[in-house]
Amino acid sequence: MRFVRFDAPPALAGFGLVTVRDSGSLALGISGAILRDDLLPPARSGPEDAEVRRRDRYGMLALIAAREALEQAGVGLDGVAGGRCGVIVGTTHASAERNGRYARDLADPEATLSPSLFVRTTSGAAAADIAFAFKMGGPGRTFASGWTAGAEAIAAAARSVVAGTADLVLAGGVEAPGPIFARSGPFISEGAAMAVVTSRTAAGRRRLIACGRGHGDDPTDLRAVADASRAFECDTVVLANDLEADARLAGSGDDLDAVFPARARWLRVGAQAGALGAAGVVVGCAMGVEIPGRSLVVARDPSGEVAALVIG
Amino acid sequence: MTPPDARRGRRVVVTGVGAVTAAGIGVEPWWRSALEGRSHLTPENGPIAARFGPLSIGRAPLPAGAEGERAGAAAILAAREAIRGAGLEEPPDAGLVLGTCLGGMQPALGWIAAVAAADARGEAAPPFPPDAGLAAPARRVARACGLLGPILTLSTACSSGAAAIAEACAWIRDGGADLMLAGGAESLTPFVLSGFAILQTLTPGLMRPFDRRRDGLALGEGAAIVVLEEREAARRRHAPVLAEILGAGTSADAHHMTAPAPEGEGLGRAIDAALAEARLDASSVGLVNAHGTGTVHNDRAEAAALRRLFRRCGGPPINAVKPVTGHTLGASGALETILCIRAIRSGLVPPTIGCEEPEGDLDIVRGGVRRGGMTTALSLSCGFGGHNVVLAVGAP
Repeated sequence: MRFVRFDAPPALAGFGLVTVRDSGSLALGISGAILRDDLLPPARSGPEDAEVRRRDRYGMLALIAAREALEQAGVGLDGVAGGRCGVIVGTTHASAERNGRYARDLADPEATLSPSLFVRTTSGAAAADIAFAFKMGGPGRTFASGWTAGAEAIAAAARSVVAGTADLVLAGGVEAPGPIFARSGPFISEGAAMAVVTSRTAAGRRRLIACGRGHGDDPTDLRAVADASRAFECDTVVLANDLEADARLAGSGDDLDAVFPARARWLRVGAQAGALGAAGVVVGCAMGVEIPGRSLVVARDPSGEVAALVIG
Repeated sequence: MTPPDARRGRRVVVTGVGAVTAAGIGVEPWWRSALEGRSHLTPENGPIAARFGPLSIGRAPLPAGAEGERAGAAAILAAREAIRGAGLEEPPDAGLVLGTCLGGMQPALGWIAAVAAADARGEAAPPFPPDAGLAAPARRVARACGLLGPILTLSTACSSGAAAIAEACAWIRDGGADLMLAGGAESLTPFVLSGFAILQTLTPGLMRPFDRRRDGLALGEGAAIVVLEEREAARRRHAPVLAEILGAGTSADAHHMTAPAPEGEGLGRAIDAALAEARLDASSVGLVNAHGTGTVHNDRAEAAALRRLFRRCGGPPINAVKPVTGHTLGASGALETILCIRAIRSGLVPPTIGCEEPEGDLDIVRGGVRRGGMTTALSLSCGFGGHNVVLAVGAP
């Protein structure tokens, strides 16, 4: 596990979060209609294109969280302009539900295939939606690395800001697995979490101090995560997944107090897969209001990959 | 972390390359074909052609032992070639950033059908296949090559391979890693072929980038991987330094899901960012490897961006090599970065197959190999959703 510490830590200036209240209730997560026509860019390919977009929860969840984050950051939507503002998204299955729908149509020789639906099957669709809706022409990309992807997106946003390639990057995670992909492994619900990462200075804002990445199936790396919470003198720890297994890996049984000493811990922020790490950042910043100091946010993929962020 | 002003102290070099394309296994058969102006596209006679009309494709000749999902299988072969070429011991203490559009999705779609069938029978759903999902090809490479560093998957549609190289360079420059593999991989599936067919982007004939008769692209599959190292670390281990990645620029068009901004404004921002990071000006660019898909929208937008860039200095030679193997989507940006490396090292610029009547006044390399002593090159990549990536490559 290797941490990079930012000498000029970028600010975390605004947050957007879309979750189901009860992540154990799949029906609630899937059936709750999110129809926000006001967020949709004008249809450029006719009514069919607009309808496909309206039904695409991957793009829609991303747009809702993005707008909330921009509003909370105090960045007027008209004021976010030009090539200095970027969008970086993390996801596990991206628009997989759309992929399944297109594949079913393809298997039916009588079906008419929708070009609009096909372009929604690419995982970059959410980042493109946000860039288009808010006219953000700077660095844009999508991590599809599994459950660490949201944290990777925020770390990459910080890198862009620190390197000077962008002044502001909207970054986070989005997951809209649909009822089928929700069963692809450990339970996945839908959700989105976005944060505004910026070089602009402002009082009272949290900052991204450092980011780290490694293999969690290597116990020494998990120990490195725990060591980081001490080295960075973190007051709170957000274990975005259920990390009891990780605690065992680290060789301390189930005693999280021993592994991750902190004044407060938040376990398992949800089950939004690629959105986990970004949701953890939102939780960590919220905890920072009550308990000033630093937070360590950890997101772990079932494959063993681990991403960690230090905010403060 | 290294302060911004001192970041130039950590420079990124390429020490190994690997590729799998329709031209064969390895960089060499593809490079030879590019120099000879030989295309490996063949007519597709399957159900997709029957349903959507005639099309040509560049199918990678994966060997019998290359099992499982084809993007991952191709990426493993390319990674092994790159690791061997870099003279690294296995398992290398390296991470991987792999770009792909839809690699890994085909097994996932098969799983969806299997779940539906199991549900209908009232049986337990089958487990999610280990080689399924967008992150699967990268993880397969990591397992096959024993990579010990972080494993990431990036997707920016057709610029994914270049975006992966840009991301890995950022990791090395800011001290997050000393050694990274990066590149892209893609497989040709009915899903992908049908999608590009209904978007009406496929040519029924020849790919003709920048030719006034161009009418679309042909798709290919394969993988391309480079080994990236912090320069001083590479020198210390006496690694074969092939080239330096001088800079990278990324941008979003914020314009349309499939069509580029008509004047190439977004691509222009990515070019400017790459040149700024590389500390180059337009007049010092020795070669431009264009995205060059041979679609009307892409070629016009790209030509507009290049005309703006070079209007004061005439402009360097420009080539486009997708007609050799077809557009390999998520792999193409990495594959064409390797082209820039080989061009700089050999002084040879492969021609643009199919460009016989160039539109406009750009200096498109056509007809045969152009000889030149270039020391820098730009590789341009543009993806659906307006994702532009430009890499500046230089002699070591």
